[in-house]
Amino acid sequence: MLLPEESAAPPGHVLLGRYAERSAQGGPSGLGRRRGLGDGQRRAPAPGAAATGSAPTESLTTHRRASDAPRHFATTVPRPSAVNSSGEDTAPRRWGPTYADTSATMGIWNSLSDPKLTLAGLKAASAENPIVKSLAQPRRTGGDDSIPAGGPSAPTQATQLSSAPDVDGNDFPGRQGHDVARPTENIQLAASTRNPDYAARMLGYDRNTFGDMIHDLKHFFKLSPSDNLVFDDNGDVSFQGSVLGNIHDFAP
Amino acid sequence: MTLRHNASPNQERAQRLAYASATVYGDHLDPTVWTTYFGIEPDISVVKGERFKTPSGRMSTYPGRTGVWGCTSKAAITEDNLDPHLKYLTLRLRLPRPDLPALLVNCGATMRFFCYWSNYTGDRVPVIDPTLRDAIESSGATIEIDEYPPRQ
Repeated sequence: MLLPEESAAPPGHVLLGRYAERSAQGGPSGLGRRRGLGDGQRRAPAPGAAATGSAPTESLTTHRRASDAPRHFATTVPRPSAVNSSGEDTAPRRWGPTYADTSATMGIWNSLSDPKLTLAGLKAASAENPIVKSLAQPRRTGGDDSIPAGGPSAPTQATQLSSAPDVDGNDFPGRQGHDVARPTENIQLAASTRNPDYAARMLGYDRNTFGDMIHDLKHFFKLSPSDNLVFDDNGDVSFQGSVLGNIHDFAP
Repeated sequence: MTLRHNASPNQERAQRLAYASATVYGDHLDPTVWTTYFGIEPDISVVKGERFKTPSGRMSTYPGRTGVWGCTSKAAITEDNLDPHLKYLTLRLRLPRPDLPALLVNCGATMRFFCYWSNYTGDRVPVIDPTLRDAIESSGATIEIDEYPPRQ
């Protein structure tokens, strides 16, 4: 995979997905330092260059490096027509952050070259970045790509960005926001039964042993043979709505 | 009657098709009173509201629902019918006792012979000798058979 700092930077290319992807792999700040960054080989940004650089698609795909391109991302990118004078992106965009957000992200990315930068400073600098905050939002479940009413929201952006494959076609299972199997949240499945045979299987006892255990429990708790008990999957035994004891206490 | 000693609890549990326990229940039961009365140490003893030791030796997760004093034939008798177990218990408790019903009433207690009856094969019918039943019932106690039938 070609690294951004090794790429030529012809103006006019902004790869939001790529940087969002890198942000998704980062640490607490949301920005990850990849191989080659911070090794002292970067060049100082060109005087007067804005911190709005981009990675060129052409160089990424051909692995061809332009000799005069700065290795740093401090390149000048023409403002898209949809961006107003205050830096706000007014174009309707189905996914991703605004132009201003991207510029701020690139500024943070470039700041990694500062040897004086501390981790705390990096966190502070990136804490207010919308992209970083959006990636910290919980992932949406399901495969619905529909945009909620009112426009793209932060969680939607996080899902869109972090689920996108790398521009090199690489996918990273298990990365933040990727559709990996995870336990369903906010749902608790309570298992209980009145059937002793089912309870024996649920709790891992053979039928004869479990019957003996039930008899002992009834003996200790003054229950009659005809009393129907409810067995929970943790072994708790209820009678008439109240927990009496735990059947595991009577295991051999 | 076959007496069996030195058998591990697991062996007993796996092989038992029947056994019985004689138990006194009461919310205000004082185990020492009944230990003194019957003259034997109980196999199980529970004070209401306190955790107790289960047959496996563990401490119970939940406290006792009521006071319990009892003895069982599980560790001593290996017969598959109830009569030997009930006979063992009546002999051990020296039943019938004419004063026992009044004592139970005065203490606010009840007494039962709680019988485990395994009938997973579906062909076992519990039978109790009438003389044993009379001895038990005349002492103010009841007999309850906890049958485990074949799978439905």
